[in-house]
Amino acid sequence: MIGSIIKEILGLFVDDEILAIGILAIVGLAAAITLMQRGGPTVAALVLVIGLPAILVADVLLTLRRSTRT
Amino acid sequence: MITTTFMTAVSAAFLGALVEVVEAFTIVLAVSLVRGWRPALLGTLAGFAALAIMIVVLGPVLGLIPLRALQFVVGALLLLFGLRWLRKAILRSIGLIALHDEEAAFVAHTRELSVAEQRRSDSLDWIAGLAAFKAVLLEGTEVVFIVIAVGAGNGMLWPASLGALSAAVLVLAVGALAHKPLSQVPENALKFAVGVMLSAFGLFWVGEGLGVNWPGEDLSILGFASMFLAVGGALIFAVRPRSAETA
Repeated sequence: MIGSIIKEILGLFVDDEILAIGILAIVGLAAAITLMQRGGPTVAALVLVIGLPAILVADVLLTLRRSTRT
Repeated sequence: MITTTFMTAVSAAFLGALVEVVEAFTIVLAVSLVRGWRPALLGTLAGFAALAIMIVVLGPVLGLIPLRALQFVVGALLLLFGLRWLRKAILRSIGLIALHDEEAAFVAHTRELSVAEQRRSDSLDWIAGLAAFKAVLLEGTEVVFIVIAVGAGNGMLWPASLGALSAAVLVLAVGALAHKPLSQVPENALKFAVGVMLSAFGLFWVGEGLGVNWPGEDLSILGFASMFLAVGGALIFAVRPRSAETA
């Protein structure tokens, strides 16, 4: 019972692994850019603003492609 | 500026909570119609008690975390949560996954409890109570997360709580009058709108946590919401004909 509740709570954040990994990769890249001071927060902002919608589009198209194959 | 932040926090929490409370209400109603109000009420109260403990334990911890770290972590969680909702709403709009149907969910839960009734009638109140408890706890956890996510980083916890509470009161009032699942609520459209708003908050906060000075400050949340809305809408518009052909 508790296990299934914990599993469902984790499921609130991770449903599709590719989307979750993609989001964390974009956020991690933005954080790394800021920490290494390569361009600073402005470059990190660009990474977030371009990367996050891009990962959403890529994930939906990938899901569509997978579904048409099956 | 304050009005924009206030209104965005209230409306995001209201819409998010509306979807979750409708889902929890459907299950609690199924329990109460199959086994009576007692297990439904006990399960619901136990769920609220568990949520209250969670808030009491975790609430003060939020105050100990440095603001920037809090914004970054909550922003990242919000992106995972919001983009997941947005993706699901897009896939439902283009017909790749089935729409969430409160009427069907209600029938499924009622059937589940009726089957259990035939098997173990003596322990059914316990099972029914647990079903109500789990529904309130899980959907309530989502509401608590949404409230924290849209309110914690900018001192808008109370307005966000007010938004969520209004949604709960509205659903319970309409549900009490209708006494049936609230299947008329356009759940996918709401999930799409909430996904857009939560993703916008997430993007804003991750940036704030990294020290980004967004142009227009809090107003940029509306810009990000417009961006996610445009991207989601464009995806639905572009993909729907293709998915209809393949269906």
